[in-house]
Amino acid sequence: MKTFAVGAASYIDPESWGSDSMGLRPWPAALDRAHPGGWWESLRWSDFFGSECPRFGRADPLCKLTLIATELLAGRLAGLSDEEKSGVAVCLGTGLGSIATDCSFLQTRSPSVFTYTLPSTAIGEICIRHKLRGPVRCFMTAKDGCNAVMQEAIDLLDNGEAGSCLCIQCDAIGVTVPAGLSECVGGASGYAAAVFLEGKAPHLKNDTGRYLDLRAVADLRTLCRDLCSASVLG
Amino acid sequence: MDSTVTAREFAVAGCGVVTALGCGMRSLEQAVAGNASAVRQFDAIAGKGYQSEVAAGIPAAVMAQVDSLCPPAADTVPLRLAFAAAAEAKLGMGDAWSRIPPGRIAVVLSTTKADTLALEAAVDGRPAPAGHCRHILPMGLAGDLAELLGARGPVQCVSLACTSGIMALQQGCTLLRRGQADVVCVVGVDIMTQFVLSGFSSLKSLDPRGCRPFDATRAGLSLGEGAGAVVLVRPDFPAHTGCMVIGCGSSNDANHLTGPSRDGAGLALAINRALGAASLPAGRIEYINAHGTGTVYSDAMESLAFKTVFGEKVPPVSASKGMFGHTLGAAGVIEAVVCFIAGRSGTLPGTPGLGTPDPVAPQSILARPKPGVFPHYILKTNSGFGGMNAALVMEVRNK
Repeated sequence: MKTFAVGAASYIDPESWGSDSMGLRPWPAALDRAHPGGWWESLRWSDFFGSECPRFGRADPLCKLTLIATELLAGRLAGLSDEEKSGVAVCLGTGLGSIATDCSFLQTRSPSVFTYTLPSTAIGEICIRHKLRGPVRCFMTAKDGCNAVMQEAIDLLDNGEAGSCLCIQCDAIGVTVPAGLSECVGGASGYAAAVFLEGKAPHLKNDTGRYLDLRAVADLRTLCRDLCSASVLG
Repeated sequence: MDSTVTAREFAVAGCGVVTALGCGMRSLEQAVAGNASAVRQFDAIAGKGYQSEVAAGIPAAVMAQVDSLCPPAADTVPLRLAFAAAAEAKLGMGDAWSRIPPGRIAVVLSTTKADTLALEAAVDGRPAPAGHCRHILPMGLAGDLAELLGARGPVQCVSLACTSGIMALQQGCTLLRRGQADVVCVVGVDIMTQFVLSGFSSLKSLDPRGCRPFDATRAGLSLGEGAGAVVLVRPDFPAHTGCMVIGCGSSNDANHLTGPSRDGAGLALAINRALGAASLPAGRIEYINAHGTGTVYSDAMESLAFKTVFGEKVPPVSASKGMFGHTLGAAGVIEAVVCFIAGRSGTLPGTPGLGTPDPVAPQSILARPKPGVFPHYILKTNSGFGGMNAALVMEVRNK
């Protein structure tokens, strides 16, 4: 089986944000796209979700964007039992990883910053917030590349290793990169794309009726943006 | 060879290693047999204000040996270490490597930070040789390693904190199972720099006396550096060692970013997933190579996880970080190589640094090597920041 149900999807970048259920919305004009640390630095959790999230405030850029992207589709996760959550795999792809935070740590030597100098910390944040204990994967990809994430999602679902899979592609780096790094990181970048795929698990009782052939998906970022802005499902 | 593979087990065709103990498998085999340790006062980091001056840094003489094995294009420290380990591992295949079409050879790199020396230079505004910047991002390092090895197949990079090594081996098996490669060179590498030393110092995670895994008086970890490499092939490949990777599992604690869960449930889950993938009852495991960092809570968590899975009959356990320190993203691969050595040599490794076992540690903990035992089924575990847990099951067959 290579065709899986799309439970939910979300997408955020400097231009818009949203999910498959709410559609893509433009940012308010007040968004500071020129913020030197990155356009996301002016975001507040409560602007999106009404409540507060203490973890968001201390998180690094990669974690902030992945937390928001996951929260935007978390309605689908909320209905799962603890047992079902143990079968949710989290699969993250990132080209730049935690490099923005790596630079911050070298400038501050702060233990609270060091905690975020691993890209997989973003997976930890998501798993803590949503109580997910399933298999985990984290790929450093070429910038904007996501082939490994989608192939792995197919494997995890097809083999029954996971009942569902939260796939995320994210990069987050502001414009304050040291000059010596520009050669390898390129310009500023900040986006997160997430899709929650469901396999053969019993919780398909709430089947969305939307299915996707993952073999035809080349780019997770484009897929999520399309899922949130228009139907690409058969 | 068929491009489709139904096997769920894959064979080790060769291994290679560079640690503070030395360059090459012989150095690690001797350390396993003699319970040797390279965790010691390391002058290169003395007087710099770190929490500990004890570490397993690679001595200059060993680095010179590494350099002598590398082509000029291997122009950064992590690339040289990775290449030296990989070159030794591919020797295990003999001439067979050169007969594999380059497009069928894949590389999976495991690292937490890649080239932090170059990162430090860039942040400090110091000039770095042209091109060094590209190894700051792990995929740049992985790509250059593949180029040096003559591998033109898929290149992947796994970064899952201290579980990266096991998960890279899992990815190696996955690439073979998908038919995307006939040979996968899995390489783990990390270097000990200001970045990691000051980071772990800031967290107060280092033991000034040197790590003492599972000891009653343990007080933290000791950093190390190095590279490990494992060449994986399909089971029908003629040139392999008889050592198989037969299962892998992972999980997240969903509990804390830097501290392990106190009940070990997450690691137990990963172990059970690995055993399930291997279709192996827990009682068949004959040796466990633990993560065993020497930190108070991590070792206690692991002990609980083992008891959860194995009950009162925990198989012989040892931890290898007292030999070559905590090599972070390389740890899972290097420690899998230790398991390989245990299986082939018939000596269960000891736990350098362990004096008086903690009462919570498994009673089967091995302080000293135990010769004359040929384990058929071996479990390797690692856990890491972000609540990551990973477990690998290996089988050693007569060949």
